[in-house]
Amino acid sequence: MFGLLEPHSLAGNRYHPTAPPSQEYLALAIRNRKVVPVRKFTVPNAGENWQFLSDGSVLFADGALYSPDGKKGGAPGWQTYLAINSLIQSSIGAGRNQAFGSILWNGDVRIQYKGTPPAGRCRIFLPHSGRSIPIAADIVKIDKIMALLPSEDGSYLLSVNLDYDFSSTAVGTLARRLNEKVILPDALKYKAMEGIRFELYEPAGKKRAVLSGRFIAEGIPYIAAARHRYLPINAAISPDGRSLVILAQRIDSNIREYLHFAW
Amino acid sequence: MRRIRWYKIALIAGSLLALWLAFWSIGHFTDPHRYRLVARYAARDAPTVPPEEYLKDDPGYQRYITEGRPAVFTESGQFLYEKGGDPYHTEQEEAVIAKRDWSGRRLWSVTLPECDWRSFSASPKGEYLATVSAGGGSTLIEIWQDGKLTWDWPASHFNWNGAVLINNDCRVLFWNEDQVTVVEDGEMIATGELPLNI
Repeated sequence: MFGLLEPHSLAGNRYHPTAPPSQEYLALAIRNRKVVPVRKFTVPNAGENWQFLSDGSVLFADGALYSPDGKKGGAPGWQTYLAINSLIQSSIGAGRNQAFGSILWNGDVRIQYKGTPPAGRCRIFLPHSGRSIPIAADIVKIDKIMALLPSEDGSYLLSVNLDYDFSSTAVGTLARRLNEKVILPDALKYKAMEGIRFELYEPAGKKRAVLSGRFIAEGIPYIAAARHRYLPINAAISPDGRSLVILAQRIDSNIREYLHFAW
Repeated sequence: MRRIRWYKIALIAGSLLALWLAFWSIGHFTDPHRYRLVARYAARDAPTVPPEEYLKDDPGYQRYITEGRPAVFTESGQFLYEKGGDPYHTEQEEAVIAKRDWSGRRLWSVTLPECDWRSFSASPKGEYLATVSAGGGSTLIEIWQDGKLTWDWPASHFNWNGAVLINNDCRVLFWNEDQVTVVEDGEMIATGELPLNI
């Protein structure tokens, strides 16, 4: 593929080459039955960590926002992420944090961070209005956070937490020492604890809705719905924050389903 | 024998009920709500064995890998999901593309017959859908509005190996390595050579 045609430019479409380090793109127009470039727009070389927003603006990881007419705005100095799971992956690195898949949908709203996670300040950034909403430190500092997804208007945040500390009961430890020759149900082998939690917060810290699941085995959480147990793969919240969609796989088969939740 | 005072029992029971209601209502307004399942449906068929390139990086977590494109979200967050058919492979298989809202309600769906289904694109607002299929040495682009076929365009001369985009104005743009074509209302309105000079 030579590049990408973006669908939202002034002239209807935009072309930009994908080969780094070029950061140029073009608005296209139709003249005399020919597709021709009408505007060349060069942005600073900031690596590959930049994204088009729905209105054609370009948002960089350092918070700078370039509008289609070339004007610069945004909030430089704030590291900008799609959501907190991309923050975790880029700041901490690969590993088990990648267990929760990429976000299904995120819209234009972003998470911004100043400082070093998890000690810095975190906020929701709404690029179109330039408005930002601070996020309570307690939400960001929750242990074992896997993802933090803002709603499109910034009024809600979905926090996905996974508790990796899967502790065994005394009976379970004994069974393990007997080389698993004693067949026991998981409920006896492991302490009943919440393995995964989907929690909806207001940015100021008030918790509004909860969905929790337990462990089916060490480090593998499940959620129960419609008489099935599911491994959550990834999730999204609706623009208004009222709905939660989880892509999940049934534990006993390869069937994957979209699960729609409301509160 | 002492007579049972039923009204006293009723009073006590009523008080207990009122007390319980009071606590319940306090909890109702202060506790977080529980998410309740409102809809579910199958996602695209998952592969039995995850691709090797995923496993080598994260061997313990193959269960979590999302294969392919599970859904295509429009600008407004409504999304399309596909079942059957795979634009990344050329399997002869019936395909269904459906648009749903966030409560899981199906707004419209398009069923494509068994064909060499190559690609699709949804307009940013999710009103239009462009599908590209191939068969018998030709390429067919079909445009759907709210699940109904509005027009098609046989791109028989077009050597298909690229991508397609449809805009909110129903203008379709598709391209491959060396040319870009714009089609509107079933007619080609412009073409261009790629890469454009920049």
